[in-house]
Amino acid sequence: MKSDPDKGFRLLVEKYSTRLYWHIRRLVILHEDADDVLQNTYINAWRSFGEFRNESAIYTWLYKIATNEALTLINKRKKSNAVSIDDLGSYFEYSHEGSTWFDGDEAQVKFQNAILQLPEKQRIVFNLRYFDEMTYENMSKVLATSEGALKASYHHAVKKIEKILGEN
Amino acid sequence: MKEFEKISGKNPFKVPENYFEEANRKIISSTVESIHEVRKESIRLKMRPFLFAAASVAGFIIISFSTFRFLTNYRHKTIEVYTESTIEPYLNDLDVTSLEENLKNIEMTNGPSGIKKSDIIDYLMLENIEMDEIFEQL
Repeated sequence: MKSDPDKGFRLLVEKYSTRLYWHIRRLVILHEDADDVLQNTYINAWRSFGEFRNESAIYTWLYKIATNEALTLINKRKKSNAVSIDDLGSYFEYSHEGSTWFDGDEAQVKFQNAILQLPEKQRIVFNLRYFDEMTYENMSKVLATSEGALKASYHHAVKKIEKILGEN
Repeated sequence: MKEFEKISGKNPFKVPENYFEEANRKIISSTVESIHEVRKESIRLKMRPFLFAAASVAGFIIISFSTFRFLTNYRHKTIEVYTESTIEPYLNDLDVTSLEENLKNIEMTNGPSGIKKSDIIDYLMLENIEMDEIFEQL
Protein backbone atom coordinates (compact mmCIF):
# COMPACT_ATOMS: atom_id res chain seq x y z
CA MET A 1 0.00 0.00 0.00
CA LYS A 2 2.85 2.37 0.77
CA SER A 3 4.48 1.58 -2.58
CA ASP A 4 1.31 2.58 -4.44
CA PRO A 5 -0.71 4.82 -2.12
CA ASP A 6 -3.30 5.68 -4.76
CA LYS A 7 -4.18 2.08 -5.41
CA GLY A 8 -4.01 1.23 -1.70
CA PHE A 9 -6.36 4.04 -0.77
CA ARG A 10 -8.88 3.02 -3.44
CA LEU A 11 -8.91 -0.47 -1.92
CA LEU A 12 -9.54 1.03 1.51
CA VAL A 13 -12.52 2.90 0.18
CA GLU A 14 -14.00 -0.13 -1.54
CA LYS A 15 -13.44 -2.44 1.39
CA TYR A 16 -14.49 -0.32 4.36
CA SER A 17 -16.80 2.46 3.21
CA THR A 18 -20.00 0.47 3.76
CA ARG A 19 -19.06 -0.70 7.26
CA LEU A 20 -17.91 2.76 8.21
CA TYR A 21 -21.10 4.30 6.87
CA TRP A 22 -23.32 2.11 9.03
CA HIS A 23 -21.21 2.72 12.13
CA ILE A 24 -21.53 6.46 11.48
CA ARG A 25 -25.21 6.25 10.62
CA ARG A 26 -26.06 4.48 13.86
CA LEU A 27 -24.43 7.37 15.71
CA VAL A 28 -25.75 10.35 13.76
CA ILE A 29 -29.03 8.75 12.60
CA LEU A 30 -29.64 11.08 9.59
CA HIS A 31 -28.52 9.83 6.18
CA GLU A 32 -27.23 13.20 4.91
CA ASP A 33 -25.19 13.71 8.07
CA ALA A 34 -23.80 10.20 7.79
CA ASP A 35 -22.83 10.87 4.18
CA ASP A 36 -21.00 14.07 5.17
CA VAL A 37 -19.17 12.33 8.02
CA LEU A 38 -18.16 9.45 5.77
CA GLN A 39 -16.69 11.88 3.20
CA ASN A 40 -14.84 13.77 5.92
CA THR A 41 -13.54 10.51 7.39
CA TYR A 42 -11.89 9.48 4.15
CA ILE A 43 -10.60 12.95 3.41
CA ASN A 44 -8.93 13.02 6.83
CA ALA A 45 -7.62 9.51 6.31
CA TRP A 46 -6.17 10.52 2.94
CA ARG A 47 -4.46 13.54 4.45
CA SER A 48 -2.92 11.58 7.29
CA PHE A 49 -2.19 8.47 5.25
CA GLY A 50 1.52 9.16 5.43
CA GLU A 51 1.39 9.23 9.22
CA PHE A 52 -0.19 5.79 9.55
CA ARG A 53 2.42 3.70 11.27
CA ASN A 54 0.97 0.18 11.20
CA GLU A 55 0.63 0.24 14.97
CA SER A 56 -2.91 -0.98 14.60
CA ALA A 57 -4.97 -2.58 11.90
CA ILE A 58 -5.89 -0.08 9.25
CA TYR A 59 -9.59 -0.57 9.83
CA THR A 60 -9.37 0.33 13.54
CA TRP A 61 -7.52 3.46 12.41
CA LEU A 62 -10.39 4.27 10.04
CA TYR A 63 -12.98 3.53 12.72
CA LYS A 64 -11.18 5.90 15.06
CA ILE A 65 -11.31 8.71 12.50
CA ALA A 66 -14.97 7.97 11.68
CA THR A 67 -15.96 7.93 15.37
CA ASN A 68 -14.23 11.25 16.03
CA GLU A 69 -15.83 12.84 12.99
CA ALA A 70 -19.28 11.58 14.05
CA LEU A 71 -18.82 12.93 17.59
CA THR A 72 -17.72 16.30 16.14
CA LEU A 73 -20.92 16.49 14.14
CA ILE A 74 -23.09 15.45 17.10
CA ASN A 75 -21.51 18.13 19.30
CA LYS A 76 -21.95 20.72 16.57
CA ARG A 77 -25.57 19.70 16.25
CA LYS A 78 -26.11 20.10 19.99
CA LYS A 79 -24.64 23.60 19.94
CA SER A 80 -26.66 24.73 16.95
CA ASN A 81 -29.90 23.14 18.21
CA ALA A 82 -30.73 22.52 14.57
CA VAL A 83 -32.05 19.01 14.94
CA SER A 84 -33.22 17.29 18.07
CA ILE A 85 -33.19 13.56 17.72
CA ASP A 86 -33.81 12.58 21.30
CA ASP A 87 -36.99 10.83 20.34
CA LEU A 88 -36.64 8.98 17.07
CA GLY A 89 -40.25 8.01 16.98
CA SER A 90 -41.49 11.59 16.97
CA TYR A 91 -38.72 12.77 14.74
CA PHE A 92 -39.31 10.20 12.04
CA GLU A 93 -43.06 10.55 12.25
CA TYR A 94 -43.01 14.25 11.53
CA SER A 95 -40.00 14.60 9.28
CA HIS A 96 -39.23 13.83 5.67
CA GLU A 97 -36.22 11.87 6.85
CA GLY A 98 -38.48 9.50 8.72
CA SER A 99 -40.66 8.68 5.78
CA THR A 100 -37.76 8.32 3.37
CA TRP A 101 -34.78 6.86 5.15
CA PHE A 102 -36.19 4.91 8.07
CA ASP A 103 -38.19 1.79 7.56
CA GLY A 104 -38.59 0.31 11.00
CA ASP A 105 -41.60 -0.98 12.84
CA GLU A 106 -42.62 0.13 16.28
CA ALA A 107 -40.29 -2.31 18.00
CA GLN A 108 -37.34 -1.05 15.96
CA VAL A 109 -38.19 2.54 16.83
CA LYS A 110 -38.28 1.65 20.56
CA PHE A 111 -35.00 -0.22 20.31
CA GLN A 112 -33.23 2.64 18.51
CA ASN A 113 -34.72 5.13 20.97
CA ALA A 114 -33.40 3.07 23.88
CA ILE A 115 -29.89 3.11 22.38
CA LEU A 116 -30.18 6.89 21.91
CA GLN A 117 -30.79 7.27 25.64
CA LEU A 118 -27.28 5.96 26.43
CA PRO A 119 -24.44 8.41 27.06
CA GLU A 120 -22.47 9.01 23.91
CA LYS A 121 -19.41 6.91 24.61
CA GLN A 122 -21.49 4.06 25.98
CA ARG A 123 -23.64 4.18 22.87
CA ILE A 124 -20.50 3.87 20.72
CA VAL A 125 -19.30 0.89 22.76
CA PHE A 126 -22.70 -0.77 22.45
CA ASN A 127 -22.89 -0.18 18.69
CA LEU A 128 -19.34 -1.42 18.03
CA ARG A 129 -19.84 -4.54 20.07
CA TYR A 130 -23.42 -5.37 19.18
CA PHE A 131 -23.73 -4.33 15.53
CA ASP A 132 -20.10 -4.40 14.30
CA GLU A 133 -19.09 -7.36 16.53
CA MET A 134 -15.75 -5.71 17.16
CA THR A 135 -13.40 -7.36 19.64
CA TYR A 136 -12.63 -5.49 22.83
CA GLU A 137 -8.96 -5.47 21.79
CA ASN A 138 -9.72 -3.53 18.61
CA MET A 139 -12.30 -1.39 20.37
CA SER A 140 -9.67 -0.30 22.88
CA LYS A 141 -7.55 0.97 19.94
CA VAL A 142 -10.50 2.82 18.42
CA LEU A 143 -11.60 4.46 21.66
CA ALA A 144 -8.24 4.61 23.50
CA THR A 145 -9.84 2.93 26.51
CA SER A 146 -8.85 -0.23 28.39
CA GLU A 147 -10.54 -3.48 27.50
CA GLY A 148 -11.80 -3.88 31.05
CA ALA A 149 -13.50 -0.49 31.01
CA LEU A 150 -15.07 -1.28 27.66
CA LYS A 151 -16.46 -4.60 28.88
CA ALA A 152 -17.98 -2.93 31.90
CA SER A 153 -19.43 -0.17 29.75
CA TYR A 154 -21.05 -2.64 27.38
CA HIS A 155 -22.53 -4.64 30.24
CA HIS A 156 -24.13 -1.51 31.69
CA ALA A 157 -25.40 -0.43 28.28
CA VAL A 158 -27.20 -3.73 27.80
CA LYS A 159 -28.80 -3.47 31.22
CA LYS A 160 -30.04 0.04 30.56
CA ILE A 161 -31.55 -0.88 27.19
CA GLU A 162 -33.29 -3.91 28.66
CA LYS A 163 -34.72 -1.73 31.39
CA ILE A 164 -35.98 0.91 28.93
CA LEU A 165 -37.55 -1.70 26.67
CA GLY A 166 -39.09 -3.39 29.67
CA GLU A 167 -40.65 -0.10 30.79
CA ASN A 168 -42.06 0.51 27.31
CA MET B 1 -29.99 -10.12 24.95
CA LYS B 2 -32.98 -12.24 23.93
CA GLU B 3 -35.02 -9.08 23.79
CA PHE B 4 -32.56 -7.60 21.35
CA GLU B 5 -32.44 -10.67 19.16
CA LYS B 6 -36.16 -10.38 18.42
CA ILE B 7 -35.85 -6.76 17.45
CA SER B 8 -32.49 -6.24 15.87
CA GLY B 9 -32.54 -8.67 12.94
CA LYS B 10 -33.55 -6.07 10.38
CA ASN B 11 -31.71 -2.83 9.72
CA PRO B 12 -34.35 -0.10 9.87
CA PHE B 13 -32.18 2.57 8.28
CA LYS B 14 -32.38 2.99 4.51
CA VAL B 15 -30.07 4.55 1.94
CA PRO B 16 -30.76 5.90 -1.57
CA GLU B 17 -30.40 3.49 -4.46
CA ASN B 18 -26.76 3.04 -5.62
CA TYR B 19 -25.66 5.21 -2.71
CA PHE B 20 -22.47 3.32 -1.91
CA GLU B 21 -21.20 3.33 -5.52
CA GLU B 22 -21.82 7.06 -5.70
CA ALA B 23 -20.28 7.67 -2.28
CA ASN B 24 -17.13 5.76 -3.21
CA ARG B 25 -16.83 7.67 -6.46
CA LYS B 26 -17.16 10.99 -4.61
CA ILE B 27 -14.57 9.94 -2.05
CA ILE B 28 -12.06 8.93 -4.74
CA SER B 29 -12.57 12.15 -6.67
CA SER B 30 -12.04 14.29 -3.57
CA THR B 31 -8.98 12.37 -2.42
CA VAL B 32 -6.89 10.33 -4.84
CA GLU B 33 -7.96 12.15 -8.00
CA SER B 34 -7.72 15.58 -6.44
CA ILE B 35 -3.98 15.06 -5.86
CA HIS B 36 -3.49 14.86 -9.64
CA GLU B 37 -5.18 18.22 -9.99
CA VAL B 38 -2.96 19.56 -7.21
CA ARG B 39 0.13 18.27 -9.02
CA LYS B 40 -0.95 19.99 -12.27
CA GLU B 41 -1.62 23.16 -10.35
CA SER B 42 1.78 23.01 -8.64
CA ILE B 43 3.49 22.66 -12.05
CA ARG B 44 1.60 25.74 -13.22
CA LEU B 45 2.63 27.56 -10.08
CA LYS B 46 6.28 26.62 -10.62
CA MET B 47 6.15 27.83 -14.21
CA ARG B 48 4.50 31.09 -13.27
CA PRO B 49 7.69 33.05 -12.44
CA PHE B 50 9.25 32.01 -15.76
CA LEU B 51 6.14 32.94 -17.68
CA PHE B 52 6.05 36.24 -15.88
CA ALA B 53 9.71 36.89 -16.76
CA ALA B 54 9.11 35.97 -20.41
CA ALA B 55 6.05 38.25 -20.55
CA SER B 56 8.07 41.09 -18.99
CA VAL B 57 10.88 40.72 -21.54
CA ALA B 58 8.38 40.59 -24.42
CA GLY B 59 6.59 43.63 -23.07
CA PHE B 60 9.86 45.50 -22.70
CA ILE B 61 10.84 44.69 -26.29
CA ILE B 62 7.48 45.82 -27.63
CA ILE B 63 7.54 49.04 -25.63
CA SER B 64 11.14 49.78 -26.63
CA PHE B 65 10.42 49.18 -30.29
CA SER B 66 7.30 51.32 -30.20
CA THR B 67 9.15 54.09 -28.40
CA PHE B 68 11.98 53.95 -30.91
CA ARG B 69 9.57 54.18 -33.82
CA PHE B 70 7.67 56.99 -32.21
CA LEU B 71 10.80 59.00 -31.53
CA THR B 72 12.12 58.41 -35.06
CA ASN B 73 8.88 59.69 -36.63
CA TYR B 74 8.80 62.58 -34.24
CA ARG B 75 12.28 63.62 -35.32
CA HIS B 76 11.28 63.67 -39.00
CA LYS B 77 8.19 65.65 -38.25
CA THR B 78 10.20 68.00 -36.11
CA ILE B 79 12.56 68.65 -39.03
CA GLU B 80 9.58 69.24 -41.30
CA VAL B 81 8.00 71.59 -38.81
CA TYR B 82 11.33 73.34 -38.29
CA THR B 83 11.73 73.70 -42.00
CA GLU B 84 8.27 75.13 -42.34
CA SER B 85 8.52 77.41 -39.36
CA THR B 86 11.90 78.81 -40.41
CA ILE B 87 11.61 79.12 -44.13
CA GLU B 88 7.99 80.11 -44.44
CA PRO B 89 8.31 83.50 -42.75
CA TYR B 90 11.38 84.09 -44.81
CA LEU B 91 9.50 83.45 -48.02
CA ASN B 92 6.50 85.46 -46.86
CA ASP B 93 8.69 88.37 -46.10
CA LEU B 94 10.46 88.04 -49.39
CA ASP B 95 9.23 90.62 -51.87
CA VAL B 96 9.72 90.66 -55.62
CA THR B 97 12.51 93.21 -55.52
CA SER B 98 14.58 91.09 -53.24
CA LEU B 99 13.66 88.00 -55.25
CA GLU B 100 15.03 89.71 -58.36
CA GLU B 101 18.22 90.48 -56.55
CA ASN B 102 18.47 86.93 -55.37
CA LEU B 103 17.90 85.58 -58.83
CA LYS B 104 20.79 87.64 -60.10
CA ASN B 105 22.96 85.66 -57.75
CA ILE B 106 21.67 82.30 -58.84
CA GLU B 107 23.41 80.64 -61.71
CA MET B 108 20.83 78.77 -63.69
CA THR B 109 23.01 76.11 -65.08
CA ASN B 110 20.32 73.53 -65.59
CA GLY B 111 17.47 75.75 -66.66
CA PRO B 112 15.86 75.66 -70.09
CA SER B 113 17.72 77.67 -72.75
CA GLY B 114 16.37 81.10 -73.78
CA ILE B 115 14.70 81.94 -70.46
CA LYS B 116 15.83 85.14 -68.83
CA LYS B 117 15.66 85.95 -65.19
CA SER B 118 13.43 88.92 -65.93
CA ASP B 119 11.06 86.54 -67.68
CA ILE B 120 10.77 84.55 -64.51
CA ILE B 121 9.96 87.56 -62.41
CA ASP B 122 7.38 88.75 -64.92
CA TYR B 123 5.80 85.35 -64.93
CA LEU B 124 5.61 85.29 -61.17
CA MET B 125 3.98 88.68 -61.00
CA LEU B 126 1.56 88.09 -63.87
CA GLU B 127 0.44 84.78 -62.55
CA ASN B 128 0.08 86.27 -59.09
CA ILE B 129 1.89 83.38 -57.60
CA GLU B 130 2.26 83.49 -53.85
CA MET B 131 5.42 82.65 -52.08
CA ASP B 132 3.65 79.71 -50.45
CA GLU B 133 3.02 78.20 -53.83
CA ILE B 134 6.68 78.55 -54.73
CA PHE B 135 7.58 76.85 -51.50
CA GLU B 136 5.14 74.02 -52.18
CA GLN B 137 6.73 73.43 -55.54
CA LEU B 138 10.13 73.27 -53.88
